[in-house]
Amino acid sequence: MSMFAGILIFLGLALAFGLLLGYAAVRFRIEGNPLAEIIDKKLPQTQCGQCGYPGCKPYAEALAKGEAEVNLCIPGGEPTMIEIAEILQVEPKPMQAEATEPKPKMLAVIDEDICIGCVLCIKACPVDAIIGTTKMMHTVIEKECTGCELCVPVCPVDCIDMVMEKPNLKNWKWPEPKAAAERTE
Amino acid sequence: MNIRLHQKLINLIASIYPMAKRWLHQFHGGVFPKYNKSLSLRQPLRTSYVPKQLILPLQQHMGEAALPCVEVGEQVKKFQMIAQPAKGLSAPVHAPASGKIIAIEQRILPHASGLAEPCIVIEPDAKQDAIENALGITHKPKTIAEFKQLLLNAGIVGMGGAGFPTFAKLPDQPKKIKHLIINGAECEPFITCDDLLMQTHAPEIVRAALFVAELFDVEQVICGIETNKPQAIEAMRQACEDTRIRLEEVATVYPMGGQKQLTQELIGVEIPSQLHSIDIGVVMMNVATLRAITQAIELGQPLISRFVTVSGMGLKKPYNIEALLGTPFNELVELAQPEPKLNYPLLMGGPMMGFAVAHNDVPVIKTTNCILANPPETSDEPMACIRCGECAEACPVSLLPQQLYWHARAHEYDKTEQLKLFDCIECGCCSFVCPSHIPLVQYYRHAKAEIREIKQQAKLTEIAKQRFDAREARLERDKHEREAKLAAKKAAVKQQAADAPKVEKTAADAPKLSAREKAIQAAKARQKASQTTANEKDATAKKASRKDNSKPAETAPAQSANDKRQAAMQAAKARAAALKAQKTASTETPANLTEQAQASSVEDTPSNSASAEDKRKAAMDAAKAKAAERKKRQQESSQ
Amino acid sequence: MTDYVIILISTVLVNNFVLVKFLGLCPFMGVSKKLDAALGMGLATTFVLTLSSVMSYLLYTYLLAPFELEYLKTIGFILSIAAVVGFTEMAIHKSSPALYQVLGIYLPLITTNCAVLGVALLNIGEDHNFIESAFYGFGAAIGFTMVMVLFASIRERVDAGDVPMPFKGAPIALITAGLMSLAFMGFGGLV
Repeated sequence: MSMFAGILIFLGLALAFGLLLGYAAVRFRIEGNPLAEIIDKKLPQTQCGQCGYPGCKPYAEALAKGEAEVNLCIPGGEPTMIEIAEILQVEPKPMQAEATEPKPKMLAVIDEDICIGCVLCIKACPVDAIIGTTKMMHTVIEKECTGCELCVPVCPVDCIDMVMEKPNLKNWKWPEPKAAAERTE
Repeated sequence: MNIRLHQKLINLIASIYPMAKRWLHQFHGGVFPKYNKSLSLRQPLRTSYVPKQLILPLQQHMGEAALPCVEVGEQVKKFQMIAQPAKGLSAPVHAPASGKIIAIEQRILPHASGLAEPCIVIEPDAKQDAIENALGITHKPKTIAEFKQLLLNAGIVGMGGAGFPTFAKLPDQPKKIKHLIINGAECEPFITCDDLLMQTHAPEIVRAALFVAELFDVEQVICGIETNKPQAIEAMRQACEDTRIRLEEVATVYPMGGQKQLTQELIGVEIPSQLHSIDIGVVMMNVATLRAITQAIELGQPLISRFVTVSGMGLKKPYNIEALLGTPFNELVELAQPEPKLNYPLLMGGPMMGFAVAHNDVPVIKTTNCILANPPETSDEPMACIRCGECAEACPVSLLPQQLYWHARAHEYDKTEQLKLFDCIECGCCSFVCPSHIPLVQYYRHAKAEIREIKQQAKLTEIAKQRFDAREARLERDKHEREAKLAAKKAAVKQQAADAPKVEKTAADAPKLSAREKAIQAAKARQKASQTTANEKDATAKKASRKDNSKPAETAPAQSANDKRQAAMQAAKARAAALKAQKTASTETPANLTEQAQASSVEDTPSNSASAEDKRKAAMDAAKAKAAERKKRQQESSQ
Repeated sequence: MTDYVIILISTVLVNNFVLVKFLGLCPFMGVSKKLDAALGMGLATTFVLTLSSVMSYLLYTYLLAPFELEYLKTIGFILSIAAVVGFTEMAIHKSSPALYQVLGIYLPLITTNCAVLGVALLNIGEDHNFIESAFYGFGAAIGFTMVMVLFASIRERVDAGDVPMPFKGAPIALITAGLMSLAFMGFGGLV
């Protein structure tokens, strides 16, 4: 007798809780994917496509769905990978050896003597930072270039170089002092 | 008298408890370094010195660098403007002496970074040609706008150390300034240039202050001078007699000369976090700035010289001088007979906030108040923080230096911001009192720079994202438009096709056709129809030549069109290669010529044949090799 | 009334679930790296713990006891706790995605947090009535939150400190936890 009562009671309980959770699932449904937004904020927005996705946002969406590895963002390097791993609560994965450090910011520069005005780089640029038109010399808007290097391979005459930003009074930073007595022994 | 007694009492206590001296001033903390001011104070003011070269950086102030408006080889007169202000926050540069512009080039700046930036170099001659009234004043400025324009033209910037263009810190309306404070509290050790300036040019300082007070309808003018400058106080007192300026002696404590500190001391109001002094109706001007204003409004002279203290433990005869801007440091120091020899980096500014310059021949700029030659001492190695809390006691802005240090070191920049890192005035009191010799200020400076960079980066990222989204939207729109066009076309074709069978049936008269044949016929008819419609459209809408092109494209399979594009591409490549080759070939070799011929032949006949393809490839390869060679040669030549 | 105050003091300080009874150590070590995460975890646990101790009391008194099914109490409690946690998770996900992110994997882990089941079982063991059970659960949760916040604050500081190399990370955290536990032993005899 008591066995049946037990079974019944637990069946009832399970049913009640199931209904409660079912109701909650409907009541607290989440629209969209806030996770993708959060990850997108952490990505460097170079839109370089080195992760294999057509931009930072698609990569963020793939990450949020759990379809992509966390270690694909080359420009962001290890710090970004760790941030993403923390957001997604997964184990950090080592980057490919060359990309552990976030790359210093580079700018694309078009050698205007060689440029033939083929507009291929203009099409490749994800942030519309190259101006020019057919058979006219092209140039890079320095301020808008994200350093994604997408324009380099498409240039048929190899006239695009990536250069480092020169240090000047505007971007110079006080160096960090050597750690005071780092005790390791 | 009562105050004197109070001071005496505290000084008495101070002999037992040194920090009792902190009770003498209003603001929190402060330190009492060894002042060493008598070194340079006792000597009389040196007469002017004209160096062999005057190096004038285009950026001697905060904001945008000035733009040179002279050319190399040009003869300039004294007071002539040689660089005009850029848009926005900027200041012009004037020639401190007559002479020839011998270069406009990168020279090392007296800046902590030791970076080289564009400078105008003048070789002074003995002629001393000067432009009288270079600013072209006919009367004293009557309106605020006029006055501010004059300040900008005269290149006057805050000469206390910040180098903020003076015109930009003044309000546009009168009555916005309640208190005008004359800053004569020169609190850094060793420096005496403001002291000397007040002793020798007190009336000029007072005239400028009264003029500004008049123009801006200022309620109160206060002059704050530290008690350790009795002669300056006496001189200023005489000059201030019978004027509305109130002279206040303030306690001798570092950093009394800081804007926030002196304001609090004199009017008892603390400048709130993140606000500027003008927000509470206070404008502070250094005595040197005021003197420069007098020279501008009375004589029409722009800023070309300033008082500089040349002092330090390594000098036999320290002195003060009214130095021309652009005078190299080492020449001034040699005049003071350095002992031992000058083989160590000089300091610009005082020992508390100054920095070692990267090279000793950097020039005096508008913000150089002191050149310090202190032979290097064996510096104490920084040790671990012992959490004594001395830094918090000493901080004049009541921050928590130890916490800031902790977080700055761990790169927890958000936490440092929460602890109001940006209110730090980098006075160096915390580093001064630290028993572990931790370079605290350097940590804060680094953290500030990092935070600024992070914010800048975030902004750029945001912009990049917006641009990317805008581009995506554009591409999407284009695609839709194209699709819509295509759909419209298709619909038109369908319409034609629907009409076509009837025509076909009547014309071809084929009663016994299988379903398949019917379908084929229908397709053929459709194609015909499409051709005709397309051609019609072309004929009406486009030029005749365009039509000729469209015909073969339509009839031939899509493949060939693609090929054609590729061929065109290849041709373009070849052309570029040819260009490259031409550039390299200053002395043309036969090989070069043939290559060019190949390239041009390719250019002429962009056919699809395999032989042409091969030729093209060969040309490409050759051109690439040429380009590589060119690069190599360039490198060699640059080396 | 004094009874309730005593229950509160005893659960928060004297018989602190984490540092004295050593229950719920998983989130204690896992979510205590950042102060805000620790606080969020504490608050979520507070909610779950209070609700589940009340639920399990009701379940036991009105369902299991009358039908003499006391031997099924563990299963019953886990069932109710799991339901409450599931509900909380969905509610937090909707209302505060940031907190949801911060809590991450630890939120569902509350289900298996032994402190939660411990409170439910101890309530039965100590013959608490309804209100006492609620207070007991609430006090335990407050104690948990307090310890989490304290420990996270210490850990944040320790991470930036000059910790000798071999002790960096988890070792120094465990030592800190041990020292805190010792300190909490000092509350013994307060009630």
